[in-house]
Amino acid sequence: MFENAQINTDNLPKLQTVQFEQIHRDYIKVIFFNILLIFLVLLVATIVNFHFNAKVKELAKPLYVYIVLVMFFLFQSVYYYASFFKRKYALRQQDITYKKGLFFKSTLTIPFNRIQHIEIDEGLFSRIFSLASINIYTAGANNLDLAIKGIPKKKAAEIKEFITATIHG
Amino acid sequence: MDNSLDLTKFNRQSTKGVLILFLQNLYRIIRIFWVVIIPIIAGKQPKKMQIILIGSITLLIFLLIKSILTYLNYTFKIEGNSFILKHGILRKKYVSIPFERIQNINFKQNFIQQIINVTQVDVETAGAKSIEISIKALKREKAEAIKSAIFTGKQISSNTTNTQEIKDIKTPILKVSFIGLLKESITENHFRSFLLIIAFLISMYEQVKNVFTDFSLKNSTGIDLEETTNTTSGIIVIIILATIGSFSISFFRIVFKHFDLTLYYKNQVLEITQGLFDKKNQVLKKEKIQSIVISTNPLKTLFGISSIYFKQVSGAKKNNKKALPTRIIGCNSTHIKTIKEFLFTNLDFSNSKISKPNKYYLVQMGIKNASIISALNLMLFLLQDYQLFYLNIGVLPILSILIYRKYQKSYFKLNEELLVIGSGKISTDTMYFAYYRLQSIELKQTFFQRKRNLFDVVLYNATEKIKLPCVPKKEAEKLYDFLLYQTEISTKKWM
Repeated sequence: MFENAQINTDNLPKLQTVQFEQIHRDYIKVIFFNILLIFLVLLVATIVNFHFNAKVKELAKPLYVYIVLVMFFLFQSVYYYASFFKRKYALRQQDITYKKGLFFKSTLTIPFNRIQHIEIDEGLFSRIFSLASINIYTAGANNLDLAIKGIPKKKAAEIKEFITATIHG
Repeated sequence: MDNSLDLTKFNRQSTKGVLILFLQNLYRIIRIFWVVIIPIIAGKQPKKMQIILIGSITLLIFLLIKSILTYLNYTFKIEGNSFILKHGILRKKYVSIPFERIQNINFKQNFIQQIINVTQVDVETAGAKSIEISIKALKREKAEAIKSAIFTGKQISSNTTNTQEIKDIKTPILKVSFIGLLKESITENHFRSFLLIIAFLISMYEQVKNVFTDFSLKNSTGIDLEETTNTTSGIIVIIILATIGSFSISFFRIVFKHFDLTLYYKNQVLEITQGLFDKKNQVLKKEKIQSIVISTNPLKTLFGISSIYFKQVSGAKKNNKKALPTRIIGCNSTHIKTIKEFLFTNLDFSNSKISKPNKYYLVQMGIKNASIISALNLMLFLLQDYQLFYLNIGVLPILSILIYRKYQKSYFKLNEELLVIGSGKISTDTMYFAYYRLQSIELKQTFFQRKRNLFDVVLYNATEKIKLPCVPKKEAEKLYDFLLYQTEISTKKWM
């Protein structure tokens, strides 16, 4: 039967009242590993270039290049560290929400009934700390819609189970 | 071909399909090897000509045989609730597509297909990387038969509608005459093509001028041509040429694409036929249309016409990332009303409040554009091209007006069923978006917006992302909760 009762928009479930959960603290280490890895690759590349290519030396003084590189590394680390604590997620009965961002804040919610599929993805570093990321796909314009990284493996599996059960139940 | 309409047995394409396949193969080869072919033909050496001739004849025969074999091995039928296709010369393929996975069946006719009077049928499926089945040459009746068989089968299998209701009556909604096409092409937004042509002409002009100066330098007795080429008359000529050029470009584009546009209503779907050389028949299904945009501009309003863009999920979406929306032109207010009433149930906005973005949106756009402009100016400064600085006199006011217009035109309002979003700069675009089409929703806030308690609300549906800029906190949160609620209680199929 078709019903169309009026909705009191003031009594709708509010996102503001939801308690958000931080992602696992160990994940900051994974982030640092990743940043460090990129830094090391760049560092090695610069060293090799300065050593074997005389022309590069004429273009820029090695010292400056190293300073820029280190500054970049430090800045990136600080930024990621500060923004790490802004990464939060929340599950409700009908949807999942993810918050992030230090200067550019974002809050994204995906209703369960719009999810196409979910996958659990374990990165190389994440596996050391038995963390995983939950990737959620909708049929939306952007393909991967939400990736919540740094959730304990067991919890990730539980969340996946919960969502899958809700979709098919 | 007497028993050609029995779709339960394996069917072939029309015999004319051989010709289409042959031409397609030939075209493909020429497209790949034209770099090699042209020099060979251009360098006419009688001895080699013989070899070339023999070679090309062998190639043509090979292509003909290949086309015939492809034709012979390409069969299809309808069995139960699926469409079955067998094809392949050496490697045989057997494809079976259940009706419920078929999204769309589109008819197409390119120039050659029109001449020999066959129709190309493309069967689109959900989630496929590209169009899965493309039957190149079918007789019109057969094409129609396949289409109706699939759609009837679909409706029975999903048993949502009573089979009794299925009628084969076409109710025309809109037909665009040649005058209509003419009106449309006059009222198009010509700015982009105009600027492109101007840029092109200016570079041509410079080159020609350079040639003349070189010439006059060598020819010392001659007249100094640079003096005589009057700049103002040159500019006028360029502007006139560009105006004619941009008008004719849009005229030909409109005529090629939308010639003989007919929109009709049939079996719960909208069907569009349009095109001069590439005649296309497209089906727009109610449940697949994610949103519509009604677009008009000051000139079009004068003529009382607007365009409607239908944004539809298509199987081919992933292949070419920006699936173009289907556009129909030349709609007047009655057509728009009919289409809106077909798609939506509640169009009453008498109780709804229009929400404008916060004034800060103007500041945001201003800063964004100012930084681009100053970067460009800095570049000019570094290049020491001081003459081009004068462009600022023209560009800045136009840009400011455009920004202000954009602010003026952006708003949103909602009723029980629909979200209406206004946007546009020169044009006025109005989007109609049913709540349950939402896929996900995002609140975004930059550092500067936080001070002012503003949010950008971003809505994602199956075809695109829609931004509502600079919404005050309270309103943004309310909208967020409301849209999520509407999506989560909805049990309708949303795509």
